[in-house]
Amino acid sequence: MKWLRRSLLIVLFASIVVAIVYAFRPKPIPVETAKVEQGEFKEYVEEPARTRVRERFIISAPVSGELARITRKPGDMVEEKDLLATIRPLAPVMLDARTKSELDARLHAARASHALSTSAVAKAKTVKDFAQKELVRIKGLVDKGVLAGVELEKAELDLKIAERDVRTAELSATVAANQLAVAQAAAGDAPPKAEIGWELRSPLRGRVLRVLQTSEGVVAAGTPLLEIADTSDLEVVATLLTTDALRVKPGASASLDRWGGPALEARVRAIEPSGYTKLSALGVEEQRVDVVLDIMSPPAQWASLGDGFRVHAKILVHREASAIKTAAAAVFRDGDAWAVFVVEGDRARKRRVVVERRNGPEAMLGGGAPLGATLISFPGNDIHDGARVVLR
Amino acid sequence: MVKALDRKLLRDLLRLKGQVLTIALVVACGVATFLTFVGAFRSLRSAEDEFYRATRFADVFAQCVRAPEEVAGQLSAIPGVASLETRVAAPVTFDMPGYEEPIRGLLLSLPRTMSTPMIREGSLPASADEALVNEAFARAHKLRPGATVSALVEGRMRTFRVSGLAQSPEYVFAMTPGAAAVDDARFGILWADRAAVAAARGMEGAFNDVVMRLAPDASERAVLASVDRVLQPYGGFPAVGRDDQSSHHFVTRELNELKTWAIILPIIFVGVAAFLLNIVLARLIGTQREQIAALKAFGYGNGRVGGHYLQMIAVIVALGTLLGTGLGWYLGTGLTAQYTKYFRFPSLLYRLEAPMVISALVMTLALAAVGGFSAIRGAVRLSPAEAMRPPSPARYRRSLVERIGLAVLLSNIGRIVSRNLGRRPLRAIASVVGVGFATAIIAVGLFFGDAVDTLIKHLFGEVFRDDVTVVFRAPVDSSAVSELRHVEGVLHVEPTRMIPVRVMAGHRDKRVVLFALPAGVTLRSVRTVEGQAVAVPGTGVMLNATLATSLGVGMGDKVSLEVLDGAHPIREATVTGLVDEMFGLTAYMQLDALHRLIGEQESISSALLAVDPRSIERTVAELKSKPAVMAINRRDATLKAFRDTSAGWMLLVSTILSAFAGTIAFGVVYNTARINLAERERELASLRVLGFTVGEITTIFAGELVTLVLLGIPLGFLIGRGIITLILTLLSSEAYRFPSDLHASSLAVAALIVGASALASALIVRRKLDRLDLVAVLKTRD
Repeated sequence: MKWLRRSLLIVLFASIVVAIVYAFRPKPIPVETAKVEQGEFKEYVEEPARTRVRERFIISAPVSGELARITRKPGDMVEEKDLLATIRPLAPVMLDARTKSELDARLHAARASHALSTSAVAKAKTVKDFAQKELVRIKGLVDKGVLAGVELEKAELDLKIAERDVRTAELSATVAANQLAVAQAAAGDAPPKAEIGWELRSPLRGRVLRVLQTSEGVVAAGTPLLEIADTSDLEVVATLLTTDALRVKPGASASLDRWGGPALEARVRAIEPSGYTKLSALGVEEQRVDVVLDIMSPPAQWASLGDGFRVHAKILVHREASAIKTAAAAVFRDGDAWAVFVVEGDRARKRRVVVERRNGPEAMLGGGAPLGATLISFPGNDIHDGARVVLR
Repeated sequence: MVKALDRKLLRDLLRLKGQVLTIALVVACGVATFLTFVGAFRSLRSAEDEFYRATRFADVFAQCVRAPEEVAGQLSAIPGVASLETRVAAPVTFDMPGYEEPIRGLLLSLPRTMSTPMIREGSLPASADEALVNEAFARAHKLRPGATVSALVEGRMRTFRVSGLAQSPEYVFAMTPGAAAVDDARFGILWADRAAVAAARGMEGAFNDVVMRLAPDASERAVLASVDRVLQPYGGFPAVGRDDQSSHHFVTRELNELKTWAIILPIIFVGVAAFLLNIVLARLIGTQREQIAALKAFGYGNGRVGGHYLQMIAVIVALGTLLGTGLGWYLGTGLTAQYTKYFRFPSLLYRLEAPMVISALVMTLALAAVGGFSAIRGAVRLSPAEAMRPPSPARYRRSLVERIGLAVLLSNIGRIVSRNLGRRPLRAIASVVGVGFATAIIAVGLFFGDAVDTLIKHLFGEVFRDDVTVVFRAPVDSSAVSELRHVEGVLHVEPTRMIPVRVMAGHRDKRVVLFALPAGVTLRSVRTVEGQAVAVPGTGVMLNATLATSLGVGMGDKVSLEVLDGAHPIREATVTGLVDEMFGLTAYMQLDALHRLIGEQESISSALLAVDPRSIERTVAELKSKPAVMAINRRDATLKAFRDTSAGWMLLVSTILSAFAGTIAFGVVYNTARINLAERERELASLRVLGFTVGEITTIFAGELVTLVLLGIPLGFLIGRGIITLILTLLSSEAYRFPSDLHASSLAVAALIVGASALASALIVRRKLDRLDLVAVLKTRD
């Protein structure tokens, strides 16, 4: 029985030792993991952007005049040649007292002048009548040979002069009559509104974006009145940092999201050649440039988008069809290089990796971790090469 | 006669010096825990009370954009307002030599009647260009009275001469908005003449800040509502009572936490110490049985003999209290000093109050006397003749182990051990329970260290995964995200929006922070206490479980959210998620959902950054240069600050408790061994005479001890678990839930400490057995 007792004691002692060793053995660290996968790797430039109608028409007043009230409202559909606005001639200006009395006096003068010229006409006609009668009488006398032929010529001349005088007087009377009319018009009240006007018509089929001048009133030539555009013909403008814009190529595909609907496909049409300085959201001056994108998705998907709406543009700047990639959270700094912890069995093994590219959430690896390997994402400070880990 | 008893007392104490010392240490640990925590709490409380009283801390605080001075009349007419003072406040940016980045601060008109800053050095400002500076800021920048300080006020640089250093009850705890930890050098307050501040701020004949004191019977809620109503036309922000004043709120929270500790820890430690003291003292007196008989035979009355032993207990307890007082004073000073790191009380000193020491002494004396008394009574009841006779040989019978047929497993010595234990089962159980409590208390002490470890792993390994958090002065457009992405070394950016809200459900309401995270967020994770990640639902609002409970809402219920910012819009939202978090009272939403809810387009208030550690210094420098950036919190710095403050506190507590627990454990095990020896001296000596070797009797003795310890340790694990659950239940507050992880290694350490104590005790006893004077022991009673 001694052996039994001894072996029992040994077992007891051994189990205590084992329990203590087990207790002090580091517990496997619970970790969250990411896989090394093969797949498409995309790098984007992301920036808030806004929509813009491609062709924008500003209807402005071609002449100064009185604009009739514009009844179109923003959002109204207009057909080509639809009447948009009418401009009528201006009403005369109001008279002040001094001008009024001056004009009244001028009217009186014109009346007098008109009366004067009328009586001048009467006088000239009387002279002409006499000259005519004189000519008839002298002609008879000359025919009878009482008077010399020269007298007849003289009478004929007198009649001609008298006729000219009548004409002159009549013309003066006309002048005076017209001057009277001018003076009357100047001194008189405004005549009723002219019913005719200049009609402005829509140059295209589209929608009214803005009405800049709604109320009836006088507008100067060149005043913008309405903005009209075809809102189904939208483009997107993203303001990129010039350094980012360099990476964007015309034709690059992009997606537009966070606008209130499903993500839309788009394509870069142009990068504008001229940049400008803009104050950033964080208060720093930056050089930005407009990049113009065309929406490629069917218009039905974005029918509710209007002009100047906010969208979020993700422009593809690099694409690898088949890259070895993993979650960026699994990659960490190791000296000057990058490394990952590969889970092998229940152990974490540190492996140096080459990070070729990053796009925020993902990192494209250039080697170091085998495809399909399980990596620890967000490795904590307690994880080291060879540490025991357990998947969470 | 008395002299003889006194001499005996002295000799007994000297003879039992090892036991006396260890028992005194057990008492000392209990007393020290009591004095440390209760003392620190009382010191903080009285520092707060004194400071508030001396500075006439206000009861109600309100701010508005700008109100004409006449409005003060309307405010003072509110029933319940005893007095009020209007003030002018202006945010300033300090330009301090040696600091590249601008430092935020406040310029306040000097309050004259309430919440007056207490001058620590120098004097009140005498002219318009003089100002008081808050002491912490001044000390951090080595500003003394007479120095000058420049600050940008309303876009104009102004220079003030420091007339004195002061501390205000409104800024006992002063933290830069958005910062992760207290930084004295980066938040300054200036108090200057009202006219000067008003002129600088463009507030002549107006005010933008008002403080009030309430009449004793006033209803704070009614006053707050009236103040809000009066100030509303002037851009009023919701008025708050003291409880919601940011500094007082934080101080109160910390004090309440400390109060909980001050209740729980002494109860546990004093309780365990008292329990162990009882067991040990009762048995110690039990071994004095013969001497008691002898004393009685000499004619000492029961009272005298009892008094003598009570005296002995009193000496031990007094010694322990004395040691504990010294230790408590030392540790209490250290603990209180931890608070001075972030609480600015003019006189925060640990004060050891005599009533506390006396109550500790009385408490331990009473607890010890209870244990001693029954033992003494038992001993003095015996008639001297009977007592002087050796106790009649106990009836040994087959032990339990033998009776169930396992006798074969026991050697002769094993049989002796098992029968010995079985002979006095109560005594054996008491010893096992004693060892159990000793083990448990060590485990409890170590638990707090484990908790900090779990907490740090949870927070900094799982919840906060961004390397740098950037907080903006005001919400900015989300184009800031791509801007941050271009900062050197930034690998990934995720936007967030934090907005203070009042969550209302029925008649209940709670002010919390609404935290909006983008869908698919990786750099910040919402997790349960168990570390399970929870995704923020795409619609509606997810509430912290504690918050939901206090509001009385559950999944699918509607709550109203009042945004405490801007136009204070009130919106309805459905509770679509609940999360049982470790920290805080937070409501979560997805960023898109929040924008829709409050009608904001893509505004963000902070951003989470993953940064290449190699160039983090350059990254931070570039971030600092952005005007809209208010604070940059690095995770490593936050972790360090956390370790230094909250975790530092916990680790200090854990270290103190572990040391105490170790001492108590050793005291108990050692005394158990010594008393066992005293009780068994005769038997062991007899065995020696019968021919057993010293090795064999040591084995008998050690076997008993080992058996007690081996049974006691697992029991200790259970008791420890129970105590921890109790502590967690008492500690869990609205602000945080504690992880209940007790590491296996801590249990092993507890077991090893108890085991080592047993081994050390066994070695000491073995020396005694070596020197066992057989003749002396055996002849005593003949």
